[in-house]
Amino acid sequence: MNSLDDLRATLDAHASDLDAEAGAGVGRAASVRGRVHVVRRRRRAAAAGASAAVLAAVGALTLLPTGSERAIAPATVVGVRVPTTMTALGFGYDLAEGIDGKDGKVSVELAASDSPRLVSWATSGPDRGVVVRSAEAETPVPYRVDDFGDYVYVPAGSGGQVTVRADEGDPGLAIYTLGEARPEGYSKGGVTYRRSGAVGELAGAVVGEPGQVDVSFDAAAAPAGAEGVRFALFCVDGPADAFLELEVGGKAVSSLGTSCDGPLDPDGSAGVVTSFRIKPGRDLSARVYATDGYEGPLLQDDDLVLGVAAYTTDSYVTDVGSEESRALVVENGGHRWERIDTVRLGSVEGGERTVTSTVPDVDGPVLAIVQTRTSGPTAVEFGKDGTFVGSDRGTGRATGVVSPGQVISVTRRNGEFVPGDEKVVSYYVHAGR
Amino acid sequence: MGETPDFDEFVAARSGALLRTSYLLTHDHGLAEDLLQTSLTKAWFAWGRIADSPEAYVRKVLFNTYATWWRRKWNGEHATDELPEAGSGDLTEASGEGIDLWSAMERLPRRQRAVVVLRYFEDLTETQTAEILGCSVGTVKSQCSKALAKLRIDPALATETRRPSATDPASRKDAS
Repeated sequence: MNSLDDLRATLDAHASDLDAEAGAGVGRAASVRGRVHVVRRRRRAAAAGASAAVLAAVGALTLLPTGSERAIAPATVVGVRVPTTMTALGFGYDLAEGIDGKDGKVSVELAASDSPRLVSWATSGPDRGVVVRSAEAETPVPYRVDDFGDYVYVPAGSGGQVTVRADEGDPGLAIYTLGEARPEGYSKGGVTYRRSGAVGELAGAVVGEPGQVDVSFDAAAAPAGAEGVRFALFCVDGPADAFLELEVGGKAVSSLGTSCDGPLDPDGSAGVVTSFRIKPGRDLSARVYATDGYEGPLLQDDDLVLGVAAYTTDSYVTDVGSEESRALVVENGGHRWERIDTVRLGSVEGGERTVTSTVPDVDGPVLAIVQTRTSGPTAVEFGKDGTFVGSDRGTGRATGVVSPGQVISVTRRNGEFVPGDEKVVSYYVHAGR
Repeated sequence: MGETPDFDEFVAARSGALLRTSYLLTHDHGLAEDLLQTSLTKAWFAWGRIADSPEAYVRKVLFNTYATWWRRKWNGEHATDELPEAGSGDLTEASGEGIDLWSAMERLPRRQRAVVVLRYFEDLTETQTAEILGCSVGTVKSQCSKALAKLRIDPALATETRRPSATDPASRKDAS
């Protein structure tokens, strides 16, 4: 049994262990000012966007037909016919409205919604070049794709402004809301665990009924060649502080503190994911139950919905430096991404304090995944505004959507990198581009 | 952005201590820095109103940001090296004596963790803790009681022997 003195000693010891003064001076203040700059810019953009949205509402907003009329009366924006449906990761989206831009720009402010949405665009002229500003990326992103050839993903529970500026002519926007079409897989209660994807191959899944705080499924043994398994869990319509206990093959393996009061994401694999290395033949049958706190009693909640799925993968790697650790295809923020490059930062012998990489010059957004395994506290920053992404001593992973030409820096906080420190960044672009 | 020189002085003088608090909440250096900078950014916009007592404001923002931060920010993929075979030792925390309090704190819900840090690291009273978290004293008491139970702290050993006042900067070990 512990005492309060033990608790105080533990808190003091860990607080003292932290190198808290590193960065306390100019560096941290400068970083905060960078954030202030970003917030101010977004506020200005939001104010301008609100004006644009009002203009659109009184003049240029194209309210599209609903229901079956949509198919026989397709709309256009800036003279370009708008597709009535779009697909993202196998989920279908239906056209909701279109907006014509003017003076080379179009903007919309989206209120928060319980369902994900897509925003796509077209241009009036032959030049496809546009710059898109949205919450998807830290900075404006240049694109050069066919009309309605790509999209911005607005996740469930989110809203915000999307602005498109055309290099030539005027741009138009189309907004899509989640439709009925679902990818193959296990679907129930508005959630789908896809049969396959970058997350792996579906081995088993279950989504409970409202109020069912203990769910399970029986799965076949892990197939030959499977080296890893990912368990994707979600909970909705429950408390903000819940614990999800995961058992695999009758064995407790994870206890995950999470919030169950967020919006429902139709993609089950987009929830909390916990992964393990496995051997072929491993029983992957799983059970998840929700408790009121760690090791607490089962939650009593008539509305809570729980789900869990197992995905097998043909590799399981956490080693930062190994080639296999860098997936060829990943999914992030409603998009599938393909790897275009992997860069090992700095020298083998170390000695640097900061190492950098410039995001490749491509059209469209770039997903950067920075993996580090270092001997001391390490910071990862994306862009000149110094957006701190973070990582700790030991193994870290930072992910962000960035723009071509941005600089990613990895800094050893209170010293220099030493031989053996690994700093690797992998770059991905939208799949199929 | 050069009109608030006091802000830089405040960051230089107090952000180290605030980072320690942030670290006790997040248990992760990177998240702690992110949480601190997010809080300082919010404070920057209110600096004209809070310049007389900025630390109390920043501390309040820090705890409330921690308690309400968008859940996805904290829900990255959790990688574990090996899926334990059935029949191997229990991975869950063993009940009984002398559990690792630091590890056990990681399993506390955020609000309970915040109460523990405010009460037993910041040495705030229940009333002060309630003020920062924007809840009632009764809620602080119940959250604290639940947290101590989960940390296996014997109520009989939970004596209220406060350290020197946290409101006296000179008494704090992390005062600059």
